[in-house]
Amino acid sequence: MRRSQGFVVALLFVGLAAAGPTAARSGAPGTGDGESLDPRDIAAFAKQVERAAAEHGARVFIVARKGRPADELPDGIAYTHVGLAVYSTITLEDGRAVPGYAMHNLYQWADRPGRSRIVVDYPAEFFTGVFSLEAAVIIPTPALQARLLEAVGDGTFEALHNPRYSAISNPFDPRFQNCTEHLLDVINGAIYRTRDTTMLKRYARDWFRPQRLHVGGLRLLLGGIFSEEVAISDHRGAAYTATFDTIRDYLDTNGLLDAVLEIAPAGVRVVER
Amino acid sequence: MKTHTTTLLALLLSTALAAGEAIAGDPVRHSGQASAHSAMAVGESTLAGAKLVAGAVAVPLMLSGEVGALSGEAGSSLWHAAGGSIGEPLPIAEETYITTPSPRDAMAD
Repeated sequence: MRRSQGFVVALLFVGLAAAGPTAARSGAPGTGDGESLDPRDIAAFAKQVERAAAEHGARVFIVARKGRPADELPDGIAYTHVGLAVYSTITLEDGRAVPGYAMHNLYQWADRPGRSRIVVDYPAEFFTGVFSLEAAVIIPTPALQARLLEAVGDGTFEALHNPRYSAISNPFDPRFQNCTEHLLDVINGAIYRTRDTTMLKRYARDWFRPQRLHVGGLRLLLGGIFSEEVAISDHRGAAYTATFDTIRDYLDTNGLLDAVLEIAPAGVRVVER
Repeated sequence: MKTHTTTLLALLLSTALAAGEAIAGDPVRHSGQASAHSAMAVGESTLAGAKLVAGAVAVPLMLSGEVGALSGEAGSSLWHAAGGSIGEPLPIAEETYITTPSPRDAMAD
């Protein structure tokens, strides 16, 4: 029902929708709509991110990408997707095993945006489709990295996945999940060594401070009605969600953050260490 | 009156569409594999030198216990790196590695 409503609306206003984002995305050099970025630049940037994290000795790090221009995102949200990078042996088709980072992600299904799946891909793929070649990286403390490695190795990462997707999921409620909420659940699952969702939500409520979404009530309501990937039933009143920045603050506040890097083709900036 | 109703409906619907767009993250781009392959164009034509990963083989290094199986100089470096503590610089392969799309992703691309 929701999908068919959204489809009708999309048909009615396809011209309006197409004109806005297309105009907004024609930006400065180094930005684009994903299709316009040169795959060689994307691959070089992905390798730059890998090398920057490897220089810091990161076995596990959190990385965020910018999939949309800032003026299309609500205030307080700078990044549109996060994943967990894990230092791995990667076996290539020619049989060689090489060292690099594998990206562990929660992705929406392309043909079912209200559902998600866990996917392991690689940095060049992670950054394909971005609006601009910019990344932010959180390197947790060695102790937390070790716990996160355990969580990836023992299946906790997959076990904490909820396939019911909402782009603005409430991190205190288990009904829906987006990539940042899943990552928060995995982090807390690693910290507290549990897969008990009830307890994970309790820990989040007690210690994690989410981002309030500055989106008007009517807009939120209509988004919830017409967009398959936006649910509002897990929110009461104002909407709050987990973001890259709120996860960074959570780790920093609790002494679990080793470094934060901001990476662009021009260079790497160490924001916190 | 009818014009006003139509205008109001149009405003509401356009707001709804914009709301979905603005608060939905990067919906198409979240479905990474399919879009990745349209841009990376698996093969040599678009991204020369990209290496395909065999199946879904990426084993977290500290969990693998197979450091010695790594190739060439990287393998030698890793032998030491893996035994070191977290925080010491790590080697990274020169290659760009990508996967192949599933049939479902390829159809959705």
